[in-house]
Amino acid sequence: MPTKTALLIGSTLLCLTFVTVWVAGIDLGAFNFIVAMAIATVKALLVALFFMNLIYDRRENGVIFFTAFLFLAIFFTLTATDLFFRGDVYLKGPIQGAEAKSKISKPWVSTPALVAHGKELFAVNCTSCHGPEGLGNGPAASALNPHPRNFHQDKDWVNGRKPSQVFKTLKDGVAGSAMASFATLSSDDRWSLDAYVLSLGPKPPADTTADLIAIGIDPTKENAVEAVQATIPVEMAMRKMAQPEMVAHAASAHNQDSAGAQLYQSCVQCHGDHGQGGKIGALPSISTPNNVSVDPFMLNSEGLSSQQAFTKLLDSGIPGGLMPSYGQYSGAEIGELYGYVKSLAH
Amino acid sequence: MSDSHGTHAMTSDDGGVVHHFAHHFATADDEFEAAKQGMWLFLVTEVLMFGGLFVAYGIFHGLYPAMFKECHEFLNVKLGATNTVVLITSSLTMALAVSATQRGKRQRAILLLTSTFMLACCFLVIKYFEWSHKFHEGLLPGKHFTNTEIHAKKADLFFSLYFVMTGLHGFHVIVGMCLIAWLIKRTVKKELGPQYYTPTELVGFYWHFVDLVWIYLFPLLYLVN
Amino acid sequence: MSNHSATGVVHGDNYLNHTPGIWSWLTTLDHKRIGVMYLFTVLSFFFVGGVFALLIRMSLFYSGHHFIDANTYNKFFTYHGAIMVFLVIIPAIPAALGNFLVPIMVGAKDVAFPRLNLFSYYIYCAGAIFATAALFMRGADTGWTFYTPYSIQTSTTVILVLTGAFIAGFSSILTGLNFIVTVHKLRAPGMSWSRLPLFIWAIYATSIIQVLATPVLAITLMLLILERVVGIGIFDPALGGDPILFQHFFWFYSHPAVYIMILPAMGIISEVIPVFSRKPIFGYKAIAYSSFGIALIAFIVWGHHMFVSGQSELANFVFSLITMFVAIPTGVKTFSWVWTMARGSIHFNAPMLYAFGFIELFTIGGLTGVFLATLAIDVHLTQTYFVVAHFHYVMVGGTLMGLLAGLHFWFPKMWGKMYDEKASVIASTLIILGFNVTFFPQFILGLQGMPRRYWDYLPEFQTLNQVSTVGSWLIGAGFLYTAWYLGKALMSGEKAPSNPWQSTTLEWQTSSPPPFENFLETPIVSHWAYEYLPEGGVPQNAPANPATA
Repeated sequence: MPTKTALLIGSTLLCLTFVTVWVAGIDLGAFNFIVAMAIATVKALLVALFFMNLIYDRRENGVIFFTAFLFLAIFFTLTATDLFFRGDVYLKGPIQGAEAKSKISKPWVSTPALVAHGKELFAVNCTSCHGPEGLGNGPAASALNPHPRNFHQDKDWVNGRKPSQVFKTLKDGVAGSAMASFATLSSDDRWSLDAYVLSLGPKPPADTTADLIAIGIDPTKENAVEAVQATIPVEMAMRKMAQPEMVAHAASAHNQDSAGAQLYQSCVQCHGDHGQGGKIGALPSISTPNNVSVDPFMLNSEGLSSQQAFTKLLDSGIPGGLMPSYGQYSGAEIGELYGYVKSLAH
Repeated sequence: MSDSHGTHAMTSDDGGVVHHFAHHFATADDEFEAAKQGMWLFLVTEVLMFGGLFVAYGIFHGLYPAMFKECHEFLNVKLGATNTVVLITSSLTMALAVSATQRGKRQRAILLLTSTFMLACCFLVIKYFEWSHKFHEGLLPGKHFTNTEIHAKKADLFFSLYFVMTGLHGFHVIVGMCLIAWLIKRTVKKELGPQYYTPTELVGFYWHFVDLVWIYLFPLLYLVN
Repeated sequence: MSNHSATGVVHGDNYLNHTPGIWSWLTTLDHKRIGVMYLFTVLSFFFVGGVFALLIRMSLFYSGHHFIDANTYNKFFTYHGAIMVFLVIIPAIPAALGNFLVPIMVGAKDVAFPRLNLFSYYIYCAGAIFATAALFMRGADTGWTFYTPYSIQTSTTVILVLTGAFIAGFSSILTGLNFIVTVHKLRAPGMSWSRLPLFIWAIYATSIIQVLATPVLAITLMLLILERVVGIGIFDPALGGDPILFQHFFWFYSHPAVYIMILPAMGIISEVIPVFSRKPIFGYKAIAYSSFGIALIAFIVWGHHMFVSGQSELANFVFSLITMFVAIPTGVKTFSWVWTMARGSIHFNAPMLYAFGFIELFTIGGLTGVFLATLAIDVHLTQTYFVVAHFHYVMVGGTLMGLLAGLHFWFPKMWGKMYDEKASVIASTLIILGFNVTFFPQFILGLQGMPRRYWDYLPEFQTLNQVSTVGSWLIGAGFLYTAWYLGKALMSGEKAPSNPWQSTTLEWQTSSPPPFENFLETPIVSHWAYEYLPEGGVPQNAPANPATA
């Protein structure tokens, strides 16, 4: 290679170095990365083609060298189909309390459609314990004590056999048994299951309005806006399993049946089941622009100083923080929730 | 030496370099071309080895862009850019050294090889300062990370990648320096010249590759935006 | 001093007696001697790995009863896997037979870089020493796959094994590099690409895989060592890293590695079948190109080892889909081999029997691979004995059968002696039969749900486990018998002619054993590699036909 060419290439490379540093100082958003890589690639090509003589050499050697980068690209791309597409395993953004707006009108009234849908859900979710016909003879049943419910009989249902009571069972599970909470299913799905399992036995007693209000349903409204969380973080589940007496204590101390307690369910996953806060489980960095820690605070802030302050807090959330706004509550609901939250704070 | 292959001898006209090429090649040129291709294949393996680290970098940068952005501010762009200039210049001197050897300009070749060596030293010295500054700040890999200024979670991963990538690169620089020193010795002893410059050319390729890796390392580590 | 004159070679001078003394062997640059050294070292480690296999099967004879404890069991399957994969199956055909044959088959005097070749051998030995050292210390119990985070946390001497594999990997890389340049640059006059024997095509494709894939293993092992020593956190969930990323890194090499294992064996089968069918190979180009097809697809399917690891649904889908495609080039080869035999004149010598065994066993192994590639099925079969049976069918039933076919086929060439034909038929039958008895029950066990890498199993699996263990004794007996009659042949076998099988390729056109320089005169090639005419095979370096010159 003639000396002149070498010097020319060398100075071009130095120039491009200055350019790349200069461009990095300008904010081009996503393009910064592309420009930096493009300049680097031009520099790399200059080195490979001229300093390493590929431009004068047999094509074979250039093909050999290029092949390496091709396979490197394959390595990265296919690995990325996993690492970048893990889906909801990595939550991005603030955690929303799922507003489980019902899609079915008055789902607490059993219909054939609900029963049919419930049957499908039953086959997937329930048969391992309750058996395919709901006789309480599923494969897992032999190992369980107490025995899974036989839906064809109406004796000794722990919470009772009214639709609202079955709904509560589905939502909370049965403490002291293997019946888990199925709050991860939407409320419509749970009403479907409710209708189906009750259809397996004799006609159930009817709900009163008070029964429905007790589970947070206003029967005069068309749809139930149920305050329920979509999932609970693993760490919370572990905490709950480890400290049953705490849950019981919390229940007795804080009137779990109140409307406020029901509303509080959408706050639990960040603020803890009795307001103790705590980390939001094993999630990647959710650092916010203001670098606020992901540890939710205890419920002792000035947002609790008055119902007005509390209303304001719910309406606007905390900008720059993880506390979203919860503007859907009525004045009465906010009152209930405020009362309950204050009781937790003490 | 027992069981050695016979070689063909080639005497040169410049009164210096004599090269015996191995008997299983038909001509000296065949041997040179084979050696060159062998070096290209070796560089392919280096691309894939370093490439693994670049893949890890790409994955973690893609998953945690904010963390990368915050961490890179703790790298000294001036020193990084200086090192880039140093390496590019050393590539230039290396390329000129190969040309000089090919043309029989022995003194110039020795001078250029020595310059390349010195520039490589310079690179390592700057690297030393960068690294020791990081140790001082607690910006260490993985479980040794103790820095408290950075808020982003998993910042230790950035510095793990930084140290492993620049460390592996630095190791290759050291190996390169040993090879260049060997070239200087052989050139001084008149074993390398127009009749036989294969080692010079191949070490040159290796050295340009080391430069190539840094050309990508520099923007990816120092200029993240 | 010239010692390579074209005439005047001492009568009876061959590579074995060319220079005497063990030091001349240890410092040799002769590819044939290097191949022989590799062969004996690899076979020694095969014996060690085999002993561990027998111990594993012994300990699985009874449900509930053990003569080794669980930790020792974990170490035994780790050693069996690591030794067999890294020290036996990957190097066996390329480094032992390939080193011996590649230069001769292309008509060259040596590989492109003889000193690098010797260096590769010593790197392999160094890697083997490191890995074996671990056996005498706290060992390793991670399985040969070293999955994180356990491999980061275990207190066994994992780093020694990792270092051993790391070093041995460079042996593989340099061998591949050497072969690529040899095939590119050292072919004899007239040896065009379309006249290359299919064994060379296979080794060439294998070498490309070795060069591209093995460096990623190097960086993976290096990163794992750094994890253990420094705690860099890249694969450690406790430090923010991703343990599945380790699996991507590991399998990016280790899947192509299985094609490094099988392609050379397929190459041997492609050589053996035409010779013992006295017919040209069917589909020469298809077989040649299918080697590249396999090599390419090898690099884009690794995620099928990770279907239940927690990788994304997208990755699961992509890898499952692409994996299906590898069956195509494999099917092309199998069909071509079978069609080569059709209307041929079949000779049932040991190489051919092993080729039959290969086709039967590799087909079963390969087809079960398709089941495992099917995502919905793999979810149930993964980590069961079904997988164990699958990979033993392809690795042992495939690669090892190929190796045995090759060792028998080229035995006369390498040693100048003939082995006992009758003994070879008995031994090969014993091995193929014993193999099926050992591993077919494992398919059933896997379908019934018996997990792999478990020290114990439920009583209902006992009968099939016992059948499998008895099978392992049959294989062991077969191998010992093979070692016996081959060893006897080395000592006192009948002298072999240069071309006992009347084959056409170049290695048979020189003496058995070959001279130090491979050929007395540089061969000039005018014929393709499989010109088997009714009147006999035409050697590749026979004078050109006037019509086709």
